[in-house]
Amino acid sequence: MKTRRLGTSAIAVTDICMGTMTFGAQADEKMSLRILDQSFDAGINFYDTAENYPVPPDPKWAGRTEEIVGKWLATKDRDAIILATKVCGPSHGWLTASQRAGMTALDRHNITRAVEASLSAWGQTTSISTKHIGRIMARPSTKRWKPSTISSALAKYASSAAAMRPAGAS
Amino acid sequence: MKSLETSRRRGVAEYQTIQNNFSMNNRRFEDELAQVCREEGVSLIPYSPLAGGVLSGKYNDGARPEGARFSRYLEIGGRQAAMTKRFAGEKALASTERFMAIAAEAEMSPVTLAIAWSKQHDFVASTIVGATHENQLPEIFAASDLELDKATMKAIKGVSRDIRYPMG
Repeated sequence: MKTRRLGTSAIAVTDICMGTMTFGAQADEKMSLRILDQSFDAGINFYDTAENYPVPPDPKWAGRTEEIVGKWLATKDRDAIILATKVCGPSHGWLTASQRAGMTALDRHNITRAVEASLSAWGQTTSISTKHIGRIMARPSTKRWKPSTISSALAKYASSAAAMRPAGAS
Repeated sequence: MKSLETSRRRGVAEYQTIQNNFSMNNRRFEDELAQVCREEGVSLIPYSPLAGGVLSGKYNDGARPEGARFSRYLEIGGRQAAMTKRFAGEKALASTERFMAIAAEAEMSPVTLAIAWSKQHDFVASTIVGATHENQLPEIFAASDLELDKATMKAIKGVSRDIRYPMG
């Protein structure tokens, strides 16, 4: 499997990334773990999840995907895996987020809560000494967002070894 | 661009990646963003390389396979049904049929073709795939060390020229 860099960052990932949005919905936990294991065995080192998974977003199964990913992570060498997650943007109108009573937004409060919840689902804490989120992506779904709000909140994680490595937009 | 400039001005981490919908059935990324990303050093991490599974051909000829996403979405209605119309509408299915013929010619599954095609763009770092069952994995993994030849790439381009914006 070939690898490529994420932007100008130092991280090289396999050119196939296994997504997880079906995990906990269309694929049950057992099947999800089998898909993850077989992907890992095939050489894939890059995995993508989101606080808003599985799809379609529904409070009845909110966060289930990241829990499954967390269970699987515990069976692997954490350093061998680059894991990306996404914080859900403002969801009024376009979709209703499964998290935070559907009132998600891209400010420091929401990004912090999303990062902490993701790390906790993966069995990691947010203290400085712990492992990282491979990438986190902000998903702005409104045209009126201010780049500075998002970048300063994301930068907090990128600069604190606590959590995040490269950031992305989705 | 605004965000990249903001980050650079403030000396904080900037976006390294963008995750957008990109597939043989949705090439809108190439209209403008691809060039911006090339110049700014931002990688595309495309999602939906199979256009929601449509490019596998499983929805062709009016099929609505049990347990498949868009079969479920039609039942759910609302935004999900609207999404189904976009992903599995007439034009999307027509181009899918053409891509299936190209895949047959190249002796690979349409799934393998679609993923290999996505990987073959310089602005793409990693193509996000998905599965609902482990039996879908071999066709996905078959794309891992595969490079499509010029004739195949040209044939795909021809479909895109004939059927513009299959997903609207």
